[in-house]
Amino acid sequence: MLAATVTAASCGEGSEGALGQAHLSSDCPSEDLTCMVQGLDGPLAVGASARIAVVLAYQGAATPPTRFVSSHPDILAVDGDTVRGGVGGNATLLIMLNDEDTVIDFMHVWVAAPDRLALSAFTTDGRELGEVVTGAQLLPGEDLVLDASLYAGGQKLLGHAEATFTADSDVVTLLREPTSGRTRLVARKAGQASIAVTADGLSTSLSVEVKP
Amino acid sequence: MKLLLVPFILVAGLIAGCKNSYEAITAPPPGLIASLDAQSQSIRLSRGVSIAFACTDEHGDPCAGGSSTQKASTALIFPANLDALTEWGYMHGPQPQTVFVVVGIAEGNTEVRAGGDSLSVTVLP
Repeated sequence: MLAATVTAASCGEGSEGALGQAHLSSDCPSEDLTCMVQGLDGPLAVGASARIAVVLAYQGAATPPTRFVSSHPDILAVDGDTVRGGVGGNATLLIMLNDEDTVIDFMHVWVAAPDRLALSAFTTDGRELGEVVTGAQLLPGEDLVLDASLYAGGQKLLGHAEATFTADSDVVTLLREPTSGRTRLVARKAGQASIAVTADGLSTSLSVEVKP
Repeated sequence: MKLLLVPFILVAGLIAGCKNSYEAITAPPPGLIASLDAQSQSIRLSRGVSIAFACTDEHGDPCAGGSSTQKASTALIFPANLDALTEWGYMHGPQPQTVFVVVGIAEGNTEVRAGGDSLSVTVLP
């Protein structure tokens, strides 16, 4: 984690705070450098949450204990290192010294209501392969890591949505990944299955064919 | 050179009423407002937007660090820690900068005190 974080920061990646001292990224598994360098590149979805990783670039000082403070908790709620979209709008996420009201840096964040739910596929080590656009074909024993992605006006939104995955047959088994919260679909036997996904009041589905 | 600057800065300070100088150091986010008018010592912010600014006294040295807001329901002010020194200091040499961050909370007008002087703050919808 440390190596990945330092790599992202030393490349000047992630989203840089207004004061240029903090680099922020969201929901990144430790080995997912693609995610870390992307930073906060979109509004946070209403109802979705994102863990925020902060790397500070102070000369001659390690990262001090910090905390997040939101200017508008109704729009952008803070719980430890996690932010959650409340209602649509914009707010300032302040990064402050842990036991003082001293600002280290800050970031403006937008929160937007999603209008489309899609599925994204990931490798087992957390690299995003892109949006699922057709049905999946698997062989028994193969798996597919999926996550719900929320969009607004064609723009992908940040944050992990509380999505519900259900399968209509025992051709596949759905497992929850413990660290990322993503869903791993494992093909068990030949046949057809339909995966229904709901999140934030939106729904989508994926047809899966397991070949013999 | 420094000796020549001393009377100039003192006279300039007297003409200006020995007020602090404030200089914005952050830009507004896209589509929103965050500006500081150094002459009128006034700040305009969109709701949910913040601005950071540096404060120097009439001698060009960093201001004292105290800050407060008249109406916390309209705008908040915090001291900030910047990893940089002042570019120059004619008497004391480069010093840690005094920086404040003002946060627009709700539409309205208020005043904040930063380094001993007041700034007016207007928070827009």
